[in-house]
This record gives sequence, C-alpha cells and structure tokens, in this order.
Amino acid sequence: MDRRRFLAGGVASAVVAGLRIPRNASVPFLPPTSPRPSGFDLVAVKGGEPDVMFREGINALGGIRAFVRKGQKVVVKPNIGWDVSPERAGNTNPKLIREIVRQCKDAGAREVTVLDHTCDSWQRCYRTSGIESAAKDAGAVVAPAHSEGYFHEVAVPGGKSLHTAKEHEAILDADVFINVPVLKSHGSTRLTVSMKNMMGNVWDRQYWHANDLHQCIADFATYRKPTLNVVDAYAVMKDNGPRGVSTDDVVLMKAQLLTTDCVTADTAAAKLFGVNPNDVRHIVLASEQKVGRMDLDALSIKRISL
Amino acid sequence: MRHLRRLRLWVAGIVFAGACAAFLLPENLAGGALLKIIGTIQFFPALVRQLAVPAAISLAFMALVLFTLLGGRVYCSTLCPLGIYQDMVIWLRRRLERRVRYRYRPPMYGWLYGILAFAGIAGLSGSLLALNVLEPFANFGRVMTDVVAPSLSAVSNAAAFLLSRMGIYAIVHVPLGNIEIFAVAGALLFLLMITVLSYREGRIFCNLLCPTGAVLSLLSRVSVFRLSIVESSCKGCGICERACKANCINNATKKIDWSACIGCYDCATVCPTDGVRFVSRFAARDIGEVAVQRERRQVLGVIAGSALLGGTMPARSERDTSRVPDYETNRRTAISPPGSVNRERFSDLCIACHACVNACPAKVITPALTEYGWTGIFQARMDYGANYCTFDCVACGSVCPTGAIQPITMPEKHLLQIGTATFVKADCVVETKKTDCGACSEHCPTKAVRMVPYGRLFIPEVRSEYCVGCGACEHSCPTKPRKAIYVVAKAQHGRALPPPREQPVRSFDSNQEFPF
Repeated sequence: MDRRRFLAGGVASAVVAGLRIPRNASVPFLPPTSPRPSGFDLVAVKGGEPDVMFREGINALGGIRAFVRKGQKVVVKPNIGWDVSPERAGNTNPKLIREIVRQCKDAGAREVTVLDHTCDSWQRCYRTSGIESAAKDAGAVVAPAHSEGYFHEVAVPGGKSLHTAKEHEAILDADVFINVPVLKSHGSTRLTVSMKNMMGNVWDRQYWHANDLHQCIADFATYRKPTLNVVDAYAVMKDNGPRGVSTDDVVLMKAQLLTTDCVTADTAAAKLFGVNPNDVRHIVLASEQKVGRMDLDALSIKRISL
Repeated sequence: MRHLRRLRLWVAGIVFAGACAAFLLPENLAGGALLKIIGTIQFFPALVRQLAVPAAISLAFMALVLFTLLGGRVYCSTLCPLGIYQDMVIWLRRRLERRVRYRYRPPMYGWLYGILAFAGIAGLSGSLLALNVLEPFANFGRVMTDVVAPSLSAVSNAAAFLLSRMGIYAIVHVPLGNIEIFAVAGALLFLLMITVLSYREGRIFCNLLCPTGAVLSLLSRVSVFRLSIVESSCKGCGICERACKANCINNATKKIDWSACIGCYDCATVCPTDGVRFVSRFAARDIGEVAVQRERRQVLGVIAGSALLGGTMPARSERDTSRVPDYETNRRTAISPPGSVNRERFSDLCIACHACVNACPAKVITPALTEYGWTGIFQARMDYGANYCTFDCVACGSVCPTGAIQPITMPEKHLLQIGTATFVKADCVVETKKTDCGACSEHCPTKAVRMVPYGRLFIPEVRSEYCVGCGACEHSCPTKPRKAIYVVAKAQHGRALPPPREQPVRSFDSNQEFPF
C-alpha cells in the first residue's frame, strides 16, 4: 500500500516536472536590440506582394535580427478568425506569414509558433485561410487555441475594464511576440488592426464584448506590447467586416506597415482605411493610457514605394 | 457450409470495423464517407428511406429485401453492427466459460411482432419513439457517439493536455460540447442491457425486442432457402441445438424455427454429419414453425392489440408559433438541421442514430430531450448554446441514413433558412451598458445582422430576409442569462435572399502617396 502510494507520487511528480511552467506573465516581451534599431518609428511600404513588402520593410527597420535572436521562442500571431479563403481578406495573408516565419527561423529562433483563438471552427479556419500550410512549410509549429485548457490567467494591472485575462500558453512562454493583423472594417469597433488582433491571444472574448469592448482592447494593450507589429494591408476588407460576405468587400491596397508601437500602427492603418483615428475609440484610449503614440506627424516615418 | 460461415465472419468483421471507424474517425478523415456507406446498407434506415419517398427505389433496400427473401436473416449476422457486437460478446463468453450450451426456446413471436406492430403504427401516426429506442443501428450509433467516442476523446484530451505543457501539439483537445448527459445515460443503459442479455441469453434481443429483426423474421417466413435438419443425415446428437445462440433449433422435434434464425451458420458448421443444410422451401413443405402453428391465434391477438395501442401514442405536441417566443421558451423548441425541409417531416423520419451528431464538425447538432416533444427524445437538433452551424458545411445531410436530413449542395446551404434571428434590444449590451459590442454582427456570415449607428455607438439590426438561422449571432452574444439575439426556428425551412453586393469605397491604392 505504502509502496503503491510512493510510486503514484513519483509518477505524478515526474509528470509535473515535465510540464512547462508558463513564464511569469508580468515579464514583458523582449524589445528589439535597441528601442529604434533603425531610427524609424514606422515603416510604410506599398506597391509589392506581401512577402516582398515585408522583406523591404524589415530591412528598413534594421533587419529581423534586430528583433529575433538565436535560440529564442517566437510567437507569430496572425488573424485567422474566419473560415474564409485568402482572396476574401478575412485573415492575414498566408504569404506574409510564411515569409515572417522563414526569416525568424533564419535568424536562429529555437521555435516559431503560429496560433489564433479563432471565431469560426478552428481547424477549418487554419486550413481555409492557407495559414496552417504556409506556416508549417516555413517550419513553424501551428498551435491549437480552441480550448480553455491552453490558456492561463494573467493580471492586467493597467486595465480599467479588463483586470485579468487568460492568455495562450505559447504566448506566455514566448520571448518575442510578432503581431501580424490584417486591416479590416469592423461593424462595432470601426476597424480591426493590431490591438484588436490581440483579442485572439485570450480565451474569454465575451467578457470584452460585454464590458466596454473599446476599453478592454486598450486595456489589454497596456499589459504587454508586441515586439513588432506588421499590418497586412495588401487586400483590405472595406465593408461587412470582420468576416465579410464576398470578395466584393475587398479592395487591393498593396500596403504594409511595420512598427514596434501598436497605437502608431493602428493610427496609420486608420488613415489608409480612410477613417479618422480619433473616431476609433480604442486607439484614442490606448494613446491616453500611454500605450503608444498617435501623433504621426512627430514620428520618423520611412516610406517605401516598390 | 464452413465456407459460408467463414465468409459471414469476414464480411461481419469488415462491416463492424467500418462501422466503428465511421463513428470514431473525424468527418473529414474518412469518417463521413464511411458513415454514408454503413448507413446505406442498414435495413431499417433503408426502409425509412423507401417509405419516405416511395417513388425513389432504394437499391440498398431492394437488395436487403431480396437477400432475405432468398436466404433469410442474412442481415442480422453480417451487416447489423449491433448483431455483430452481440456475437463478439458471445464469443467472449465461449472463451471465458468452459461449456456454453444453448437450449431451444420457443420463439416469443407475440412479443417480437407485437412490438413491431406497436412501434410501426406509432411511427406511422407520428412518433418514432418506440422504434428509435429499439432499432439496432440507432442504438449502435448512439452508443458510439455518446459513450465510446467521448470516452476515447477524454483519454486523448488528457494526453493532449500533458503534451501541450511540453509544447507539443501533435494531439489536440477535442471539445465535447454537444454531449448531453441524458443521451449518455440512455446509450450506456442500452449498452449494459445488450451486453448482459447477449452474454447470458445469446441473441435474445433480436428475437424479442428488435423491430428490424421482426420485419426480417416476417420476410424470412417466405424465403426460398432455409436451414433445415435433414432427417436422413441427423443422428440426433443435439450439438446444433447447443450451439445455437438464437435458441431456435429444437433437437427433439428436429425442427429449426427459421424465422428466428439469425443466419450465423454455426449449427451447420458444428454438425458432424452435415445434417444441417440449406433446403429449398418447395422441397421441404413439412419443415416449419411449429410454435406459430400452435399459438397463431394468440400471436395475432397480441399483434392486433399492440397495433391499437401504438395508434394511441401521442405525436409531437405543436407549440403556438403565432408570436415570437422569449429566449427560454425558444430554447425548448427544436431547430431541425439544414436539409431536413421541415421540423415535422424531420421528426417523422429521424431514427436518432446520431450519425449527424457524430459527423457535425462544429458539434452544434445535439440530441434533443423534449425539444421535439417527449416522443422525439434523442433526435437531432441545432444547439446554439454548444456552437453555431458552419456556413460552408453540409456534412449532416451527407451522412443521414434515413433521408431525414437530405443531402444539399453548398450553394443551397448558403441560402437555406432554417430559422431567423430575433433581436431583443432591451437585453443588448449596447442598450444596457451603453458600450459598443457587435459580437453578433461580427460572426454573421451573410451580414443579415449588421451594426447601425445608435448615438455615438453601433447597435445590431436584423435583416431577416438575408438570415440563414446559423446561430452565429446567438452563440457569440455575451449577455447572460438571456441572449439578446437568438434564432427562432422555421418549422418549414425557407430560402434567404442572397446578400446584396456593393462595390466598396476605395480610400487608398498603391499609386497614391501615403496619407500620413
């Protein structure tokens, strides 16, 4: 009896020892080698394919090695919310994800994980979006995020409406977080860009919806800022977002924004979209909560035309 | 005869493995295709299919009937997954116990046909309850869907949990969202009953309670060939009687109750003198159902009585649909799956085999408790608490074996209206908290639910002509305990208008300068 209990205890502790203990969530993601490795606050690229624009943009920002160092764990977080094909532009462009993953691997990342807590059925979203196969091709781990068990509670000390959230364990475990939203229209928040994209990092989105959505989006952005934001504005859903109804909702903009500041990213994206950033409440709130800067005129911007 | 038995074992093995795989493999990984094949060759679903659309001749049904008219209840030991399961239990008993001996038991045709008459008449008058509780494929499907599959998922989920902590996602968590406790309990109870019964009494279920067995038993009465004891070869050793798990061989009278014979051919294989053979009915007039001759009047009486009783089974109770029900009332009314045409037709044809519950990738199809009335227990309904219907999916109709859910094409599905959304402004976050939300509109695949300006906020507006009733809005609505937007069933499914297509306003293209 005693021996059996001893053995059971041994097995249990062995299992526990093997478990990954999520990193302390209050530790910020690693910033770039220097806050502005290239001297630019924002790089805006236009006129190329998504992967080409990323290559040009990241070079202007100091190269991928300014953000990803050897042996690090990287999470690349696209928008994979919907069971729609790439031409519907409901999800981040798979070519862009492939290129980002490839560059992270080239920079020596130990592990690159791609995930999103999807809205439609997750396996269909991952497949139909083309992101699963593109990411795997480039060597990423495509992690599931459809079940509460993958998420762990973290505190959001700077939050006004959102005080805790359950974040995905791969993100909790990451050194570097690259946020890759797609620019889209949104019925209630006007736009969905980089801060809104981080709703896919957490489990309980309904709480955000029920408790001042704009405030919750801004609150979560106060918690940990992405290492880098890459806004995919290649094909942009102008109407009926965020899911869209048909390809008629989509216009080709062939643009991309790269910045470490998610507020700057969303402000510039709003202008591309033709919406006054001051009319998008979560951008204003995040700026007021000192998450980042909206004053594009005062920033150093590199504009690249291909 | 040895070869025939071997053939039977091979076919049964393949069918059983196929049936298990059909219910255990994911829908897109052969599970759906196998469900379709297995469901097509099942007798009772084929019968329902044939009765539902008499003009469309079901080849599978014709083949099954012809087989039975030729050689008796071949189905029961080769194609019926529940029959094969019982044979496996019986095989296990023979391995565990040294001497397993069966004895002749006069078949209880009164019960068998009485139950069929009761269930059949009730079925025709609008309640499949009795059939659904007893039909073998339905029970097999429910056991697999509600007991076996979730049990395996629970094990794999535990593994998925441990692996995920090590950063390995080779096994992923399988949500058990549409598992209902009463359905699990019902299936478990049946599994226990059939296991104990077959272990102790052989194939008694098939000759006492099974409605499929009853129909096939009636058909086999006029079959061309029948297993018979050939008197000239028989030494009366009784080894065949002891081997007969259907208890239908009487060594004393050297008769086989052919309409109770489930066609396993064990008797013919064990007979040392080849005394059990297939004999044409025209060559053997004297071989027959002694028991029935004796009890015919009594049996007929029971059947007639049961049939009358069956007529008194209540059909579905119809709810008043003249006004929009509140959320709680609405949750108690079934929305039938896409392809079921209308709710009454569906409830008349669904044998509750849970093939659709099993195949549904979104796990939105759920066993009903009383949503179709209490006689519709276990039938399939849409549960928007569990999830919402995937816009680009037609899995349920492609696996339904009875045609209760008809196969539909993707373009048909995109405009199929199984219900329409109802918005209750007084319960909406935008109204109660004066903050933006829009979860419903976000998820709407046709933008039937769109956000319109409401002061400085945006509030949902439902355009029901574009609504397909998928439940995305209801499922994602964050209000508790009542959802502020929910789908009200359309008893008769309809057609939505295609969403309007408008060219969007261009704000920027790559030939312009950046607006910052």
